[in-house]
Amino acid sequence: MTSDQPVPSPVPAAPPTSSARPPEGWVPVERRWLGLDRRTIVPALVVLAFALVCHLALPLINAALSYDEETRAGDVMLLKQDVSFTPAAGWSIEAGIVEGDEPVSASLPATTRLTKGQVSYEVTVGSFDGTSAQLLDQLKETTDALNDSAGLHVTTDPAGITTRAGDDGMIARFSGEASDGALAAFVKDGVGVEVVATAPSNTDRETTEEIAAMILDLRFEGEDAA
Amino acid sequence: MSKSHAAPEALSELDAARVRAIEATGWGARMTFFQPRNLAFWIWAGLVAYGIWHQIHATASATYYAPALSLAFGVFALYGAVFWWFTQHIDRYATQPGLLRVMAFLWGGFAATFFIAAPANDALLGIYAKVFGQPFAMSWGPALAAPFTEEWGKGLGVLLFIALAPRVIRTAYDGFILGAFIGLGFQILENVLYVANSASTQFGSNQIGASLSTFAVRMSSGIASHILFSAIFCTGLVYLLGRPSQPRRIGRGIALILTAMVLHGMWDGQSAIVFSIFGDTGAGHAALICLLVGLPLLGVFLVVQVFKVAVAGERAFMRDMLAPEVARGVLTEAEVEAAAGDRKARRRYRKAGAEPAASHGLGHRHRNRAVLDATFDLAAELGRSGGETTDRVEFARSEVVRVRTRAGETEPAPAS
Repeated sequence: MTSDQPVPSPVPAAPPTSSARPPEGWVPVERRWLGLDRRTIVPALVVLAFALVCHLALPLINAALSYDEETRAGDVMLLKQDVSFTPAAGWSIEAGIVEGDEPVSASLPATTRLTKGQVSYEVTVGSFDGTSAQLLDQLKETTDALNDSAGLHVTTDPAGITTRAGDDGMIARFSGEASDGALAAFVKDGVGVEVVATAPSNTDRETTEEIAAMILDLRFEGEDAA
Repeated sequence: MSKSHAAPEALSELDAARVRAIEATGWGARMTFFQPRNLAFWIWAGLVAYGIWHQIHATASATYYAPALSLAFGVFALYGAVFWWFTQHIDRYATQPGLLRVMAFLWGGFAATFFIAAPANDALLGIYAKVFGQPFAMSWGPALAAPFTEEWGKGLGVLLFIALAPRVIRTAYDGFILGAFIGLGFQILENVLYVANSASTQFGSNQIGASLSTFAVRMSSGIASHILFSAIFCTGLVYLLGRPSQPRRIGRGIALILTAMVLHGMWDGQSAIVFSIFGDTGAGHAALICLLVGLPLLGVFLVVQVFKVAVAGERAFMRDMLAPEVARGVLTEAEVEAAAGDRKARRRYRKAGAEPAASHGLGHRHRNRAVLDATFDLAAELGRSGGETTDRVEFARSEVVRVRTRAGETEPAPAS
C-alpha cells in the first residue's frame, strides 16, 4: 500500500449503552444535585419542613405567647375529685379551671398551676391510700428518684398544718439550685393533694403570705370556703 | 408438571400480561436500606434516631417507674405482635418487603411521635389555652391538635417511603398497608407513654394499679385507633399523589384524608361534642356511651370499605399473575378465583370438594387451605422472579401439585 492511497474512513463505533435497568440504588449522574438524587429532594424537604414546624416553630410560638387569664378576688379553682381552693388575686392561670367557667367536656384537671413572676404554685390531686405523712414521704421519694442531684429536695423535717376547713396535712420546706419552696401533702378519704410552691430566695413577704393563704384555703368535697 | 393447556401465542400474551402486572404492582420488588444519595433516607434516619434517643432518655430518667414501664413494653409488644401478624396476613398480594414494614413501624413509633406530634401537641394546647382560654383548651384542644399533628406526622412518612422504595409503593393498597404499619408503631409507643403518665397519677405509690385501667382502655380502643386512622389517611395520600400504577384521584384522596382526621378528632373530642349538645346530663352521659361504642364501629366499617376499594386493583393484578399458571395446567380456575377473591370466595373454595379424601391424605378443607397457601407462595415467587421460571418458581409449582395430590387425588379440586 502506498502513502497516497485513500485510507478508508473508519466506521464510527456505536456509543456505549447502559443496561436496560441500572443496578439497585444507582443514580444516573444527570439526576444528581450535590450528590443527592434530585427526585428525592422535594418530598424529603416537604416532610422535613412539616417536622420542623411541629418540633420548633409551634413551640416557639407557644413560648412567645403569655397566659392572659388571671385570678380575681372570689375565684375558686376546681380540680378533680371535688378538690378546690381559693387563689390569691392577680396570679396567672397557666393550668386550671375557675368555678363558673368549667369546660364543656365536663372534665376537671388533676393539676392547677398558677404563677406570679418567678413564683409558681401547683396543686395536684390523685388517689392515695394512706396518711398525709405517708403522702409527703412518697412525694419526697419520687422527687429524689426522678430529679437526682438536680431539682428540688426536701431540707426540713415535716411539720403539721391544718387548713381552714379543718383538714390536717404535712408541710416541709425544700430548696433547689436557685429557688426555695414548700411542699405540702393532704389526704382525706382516699384523695391525696400535693401542693408545691416554688419561689426565688428573695421573694417578697406579700407573695409568701399569699402562698400560705392558698394552702390553708384548700378544700375537699363538701367543704365550704372559709 | 402438567403440560400447557394453551396455544403458545395465547400463553405468551398471558405471560406478557403477568410481567406488566408485576411491573405495575412492584410485586417482589426489593428495597435497599442504606441509600446515601437519597435525601429521604437521611430525613427518615435522623428523625427516627431522635425519637429513639428521646425514648431511651425518657425511660432512663424515669427508672422509678420501671415496673410500670417494663410491664407496658412487654404487654404492648405482644399486643403489637398480634396486629403485626394481622396486617402482614392481609398483605397477601404484592407483599411489601419486611424491611419497609419495619421502617414504617419505626417512623410511626419514634419519628412521628417524639419528633413531630409530642412537641406540636404540647405547643398547640398551650397556644389554645393562651388564645382561647383554659376551658376551651381542655375541651377542644386535643381534638383540634392531634388530627393535624399526628395524622400528618404519620402520613407524611409515606412521602419518604415513596422516595425510598418507588418500585415497591405503586398502588393505593400499598398506602393502606404501609399506613397500618406506621399507625401500629405510633399506637404502641403512645400506649407506653400513656401508661407512664398514668403510673404517676397516684403520686407513684401504686404504679401498676394506677396503670391497669389505662392498659384496658388502650388495648380495647387500639383496634379502632391509630392503625385504622393511618390506613385510611395513607390510602388517601396515595390517591392524592397518584403513582405510576395508581391514577391520581384528588377528590377521593382528600375525602379519605379528611375522613381519617375527622374520625381522630371525634375520638379525641367525644366528651366535648356530646356535652356541648346535651349538657352534663343523663342524656349527655348516655350519648357519650353511644359514641364510645359507635365511633369505633363506624371506624371499622369505614376502614373495611376503604380496604375493599383499595384491594380491588390488587385482586385484578393477582388474576393476571396467575392466569398463565392455569394455561400451563398448574392451577385451576377455581384456585385462581379463590386466590384473587375476597374472604367469601376463599371460604367457598376451602369448603369445596366435600367428598372424603383418600385415607392417608388431608381433610378436604385442610387440603384446599394448603393449596391456596401454596398458590400464594407461587404468586410470591413469580413476583420475585419477575415472571421468569426460576428454580424457586418451579419448586413452588411442584408444591401446589404435591399438596393437591397429598390426599391421593390426581385431579385438581373441583370448582365450587
